[in-house]
Amino acid sequence: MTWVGSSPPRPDARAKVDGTAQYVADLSVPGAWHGWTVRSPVPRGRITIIDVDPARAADGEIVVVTAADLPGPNVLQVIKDDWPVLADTRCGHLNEPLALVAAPTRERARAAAARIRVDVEAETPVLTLDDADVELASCSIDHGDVETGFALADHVIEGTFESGHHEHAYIEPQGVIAIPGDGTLEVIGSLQCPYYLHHALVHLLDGTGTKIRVRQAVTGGGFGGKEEFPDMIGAHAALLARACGRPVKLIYDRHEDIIGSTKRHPSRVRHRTGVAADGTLVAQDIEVLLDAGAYVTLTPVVLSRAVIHAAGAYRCPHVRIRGRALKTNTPPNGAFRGFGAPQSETAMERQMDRIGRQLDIDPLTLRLHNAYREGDVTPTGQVLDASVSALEVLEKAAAKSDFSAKWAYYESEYGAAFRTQWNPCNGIGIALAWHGAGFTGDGERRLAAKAAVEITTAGRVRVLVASTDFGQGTTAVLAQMVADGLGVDLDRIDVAEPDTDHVPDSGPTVASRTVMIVGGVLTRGAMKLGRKLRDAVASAAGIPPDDVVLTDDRYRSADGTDLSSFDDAARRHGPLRVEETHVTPAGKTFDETTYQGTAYPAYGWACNVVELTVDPDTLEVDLEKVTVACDVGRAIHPVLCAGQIEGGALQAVAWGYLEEVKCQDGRYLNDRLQTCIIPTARDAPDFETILVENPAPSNPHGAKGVGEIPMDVGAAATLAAIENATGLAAASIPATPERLLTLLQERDDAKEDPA
Amino acid sequence: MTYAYTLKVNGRHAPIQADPMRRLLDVLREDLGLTGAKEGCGEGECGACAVLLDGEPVCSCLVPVTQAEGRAITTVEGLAEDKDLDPLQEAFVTEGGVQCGACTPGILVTARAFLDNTRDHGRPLRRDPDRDHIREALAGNLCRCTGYEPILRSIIATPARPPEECERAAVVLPPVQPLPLADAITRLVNGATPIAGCTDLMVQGIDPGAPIVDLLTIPELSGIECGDDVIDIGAATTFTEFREHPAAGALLALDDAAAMVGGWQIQTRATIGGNIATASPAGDSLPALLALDAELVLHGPDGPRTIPYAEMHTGYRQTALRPGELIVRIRVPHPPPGTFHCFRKVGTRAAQAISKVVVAMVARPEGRRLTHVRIAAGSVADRPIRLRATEALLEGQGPGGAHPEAAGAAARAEVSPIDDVRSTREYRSWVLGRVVSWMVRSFWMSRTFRSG
Ligand SMILES: Cc1cc2nc3c(=O)[nH]c(=O)nc-3n(C[C@H](O)[C@H](O)[C@H](O)COP(=O)(O)OP(=O)(O)OC[C@H]3O[C@@H](n4cnc5c(N)ncnc54)[C@H](O)[C@@H]3O)c2cc1C
Ligand code: FES
Ligand code: FES
Repeated sequence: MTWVGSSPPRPDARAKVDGTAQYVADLSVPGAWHGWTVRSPVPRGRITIIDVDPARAADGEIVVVTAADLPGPNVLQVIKDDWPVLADTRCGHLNEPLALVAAPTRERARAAAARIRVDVEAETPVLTLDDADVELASCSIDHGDVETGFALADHVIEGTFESGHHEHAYIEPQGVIAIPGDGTLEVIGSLQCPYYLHHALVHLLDGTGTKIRVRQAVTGGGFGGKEEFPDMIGAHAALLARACGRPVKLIYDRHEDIIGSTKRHPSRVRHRTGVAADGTLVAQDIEVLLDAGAYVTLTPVVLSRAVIHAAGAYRCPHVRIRGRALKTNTPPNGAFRGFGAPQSETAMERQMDRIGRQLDIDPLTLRLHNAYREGDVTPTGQVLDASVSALEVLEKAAAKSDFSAKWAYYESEYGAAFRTQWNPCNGIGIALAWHGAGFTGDGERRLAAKAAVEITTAGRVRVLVASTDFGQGTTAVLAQMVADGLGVDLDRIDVAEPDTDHVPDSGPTVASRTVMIVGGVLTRGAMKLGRKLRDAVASAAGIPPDDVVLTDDRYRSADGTDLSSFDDAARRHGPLRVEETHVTPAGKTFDETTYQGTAYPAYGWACNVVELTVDPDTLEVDLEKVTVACDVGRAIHPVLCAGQIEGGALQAVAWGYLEEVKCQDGRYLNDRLQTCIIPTARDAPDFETILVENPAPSNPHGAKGVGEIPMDVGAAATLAAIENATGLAAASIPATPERLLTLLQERDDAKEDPA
Repeated sequence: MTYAYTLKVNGRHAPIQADPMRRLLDVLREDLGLTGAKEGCGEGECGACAVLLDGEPVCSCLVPVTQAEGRAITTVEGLAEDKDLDPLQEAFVTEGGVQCGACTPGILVTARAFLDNTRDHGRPLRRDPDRDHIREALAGNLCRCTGYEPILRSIIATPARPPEECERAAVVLPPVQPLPLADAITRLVNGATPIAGCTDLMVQGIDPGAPIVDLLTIPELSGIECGDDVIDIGAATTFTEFREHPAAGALLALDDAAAMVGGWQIQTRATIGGNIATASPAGDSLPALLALDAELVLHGPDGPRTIPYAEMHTGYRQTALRPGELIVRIRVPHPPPGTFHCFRKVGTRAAQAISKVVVAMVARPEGRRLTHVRIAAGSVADRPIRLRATEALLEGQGPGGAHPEAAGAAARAEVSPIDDVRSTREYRSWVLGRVVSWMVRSFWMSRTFRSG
């Protein structure tokens, strides 16, 4: 049988349901102390004093680390060398780490941290995009000539869209444990990218001759939030562990997690679109602005993805996109599921709705008319030569949800008449997404991801990858791919714990790249390994290798003679190992200066339809149903695939109407779960998930990744549904009742409606 | 100072030594090595720490160990028997109910309690669960990975257990040693802190070794008596107990409020007396109690006294309680048949939310007239308030004289709410008006339907 395409139980599920799975906070490390972080009291200023004496006087045992104690450079290497491990001379945002404390108990560490005196000469902070002028990243795309395009347009339509900070709210907060040894340092943590942290620690302890080992503990959700941020907390724990000469646990509580960790970049996207009378897009001029926060982190890559996706899944001959990310004195923003694409695609989908209303074309027709077909060219000049499913996902989701009929009915029944309704009004909205799978441009070529597969003499197959499972089901899916590559039973496969001492660098678990890239490498490796064992069996039997086949765990010759069981073959010829490296297909290149070329090896396509009601008495939104048709290339594990889509879609939809992090004077006001609102089971809608499988030719199984695309346009479909119900077009998210009220009152004022 | 406790965890006795207010979560994880329950927030919001106390889900981060003694504690580790997974666990494995797993332990125990609950009052029978009921039961368990859909699928796919097994799971142990009221007052006078369901107290934080008086052990504070004239509710009655008591059917405004307090884990523990004593302007039961003309029986060093509930809240989080005084009973006049009740909470989300605005209205129809009108609101002032001008506008009016929009406008004119992290003054004021109009309109509609 083939495992790919079936839904076997995920290997980590058993320990997660019986309570034995060991997350980082669950690990008991004898003799471990606990860490706490001292943070800056103002968003911007010159640090004049960090006085630890009062803390030491009160508790003689504690260990304190400041920037002065760093053995090497005071920088977390991500993209630019601007992010200090511990701020020393200046602080760039509120709650920036300044010093670290370790003590035998968490309470003592916390008490000591509170006693450390910090004086900062406050300076006027830059807090909003309007005030910001320092550019931390920029990129742009020119395709055709926009001015020519606008000259051809019958209508020119403009629109602006804004979004704020967005909290990952993984249920397990950030945490790491650092364990010092003799010339070694081991860090175990809740993380997505063990080699990122490894790299950060090597850099941090440069020159100390310390051998670094990073292991991933069972990880309770990431969504990008445990991509680069664990470099920070991991570095902190490492410093404390070195200073105390004993293991140190640094486990954030929820409050500290929220104030201390990265968020989704706030955005402002401006559109100017030239449209022909029949609704054809002829020119797009787009400006994408991101608020990077105080440091660069991964901002250039987030911006790049935002820009490449900004023109949406639509063909258009003349496109100009300008992207800039600006520095503010707010905590740095970083990776979050979708990586910039949700901001720019949500803006684009709202612009499509604006165009449809102006031209009186319904949202589905307008999208079907303009959506990419095979052979179309993207703004980066990439020819979409295969696996383009925009029309298919639109049609499937629309048909399943009966979109057109409902939209037209609600539009005539409610919409402008919303104000006078007594009962909740229905609305339905549709949005289309595309998402480039894998790293942008030449990222994969530069990274050259590695993965290994081994057969032990006991007949076990070990998969060695640095790819992590933080809920998505990576281990299950990679095991399926290897089982098929080798032609063996899934039960034989063990996916090794991600541990930099044992697994090769398969790259980070981000960008929906794991199944497509790492899975591809593994499949090739598994096939090679299978051939190795088969060849050994053949040569022992003295027959040509091609005459030997493996079926039902036995090697047989072409004439059906039984040669050996898999176990026996493994015992005789093992252990065997194959390490494989990712190779980018020739001819597919991307120029990072001109932003022209093959931006991604393949694209996923998704259509979200959101159905909801809005209560005219309270402007509360009640989600009813979300229908998602998503082309994932190949659903390796349909149950997990659907789970990714449903979970991602709820995050996206809730980002559209519910989830808000208010940032005032550089401080997040929603700094605990009581105020940082994410949907409960009662807020969540029913889901209808349609998996579409149009394989990408670029990799063995054709999978295109499913991690991020569900996040891209759920918010746009939600805003469209709210508009369908109420006639209120929110241009910033989330569309909370408070924001909708402002729009309602503006509409009433415009009409001078005395009611 | 620490004490010796014997906990009954997953059917086994576990002796421990702890401060009385040490969190059950820490005892389980650190003292007993049961790390299944997770800490996702430490303040009752996420449910990752949920365990069962006598078969009902609670947030173990909000339960002090002193209140866990003598109760049957079930953690996720206790669901499987030896090596055999509970069919619920099996379903989560096969139906995709587990992703990162951080929410899973709390969700599993809550779902187990939900599926085993055989009582039919307050909450509907759960033998054949439908989606809405599951959603309500899980409202206190946040999951960030699944969108809840695979979790619902897993629970629906779980076969029902035979009723005998469910009953066994819900067995209640004998109550702990009762504490005489007089002794409690003496201890309060000596500086002890009164604790009830601890859902506010543990969030605010309390020294684990602080001297306490456990109000749940005082007989005078428990039980509901449903008389012809008065419904007399013990201050230590939890919202779940109230919802499951027949009295709830007579006090619909309070019942609806109780149903909207937190999630299931909070309702299991949170008491009505605690809601009053905390005196949050957003407390959900408070407008209902105001609209129902409740009285409070207080007991202090000088003995008992009775005050109208309307005199209880004297300022922002201030009450009329004197030092050493407790709320003992909440006495609510038994509403005559036909009384109109209406309650509406506008929160930050559909469940487990703090109110942006909360309104309760109680009125008696006399012929085609509105009489005995009581409208009270929370989160629009520094304390829950009666909207007396609006009441006066409506009192005695017939359909022609009490226009819903006018009532809404009057309500708006009576308050000046504030901006905070949850909402804005504009929205609060607007929505108060809309909700009051809606209530008045609902009153007339209920009349129309009744007479028609
Ligand atoms: C996650 C979560 C969600 C919540 N959701 C809601 C909600 O939706 N609506 C809402 O209104 N509240 C909500 N709350 C707040 C809280 O649950 C309620 O206020 C609850 O009723 C408090 O009761 P308790 O028994 O837990 O009080 P405790 O925490 O035990 O006590 C609270 C205070 O009251 C005092 N006290 C308690 N009983 C008495 C008494 N009989 N006499 C004198 N003093 C007394 C205590 O000393 C303490 O100071 C929520 C809390 C949490 C953690
Ligand atoms: S830890 Fe979140 S509810 Fe207890
Ligand atoms: S499975 Fe990750 S939070 Fe629910």
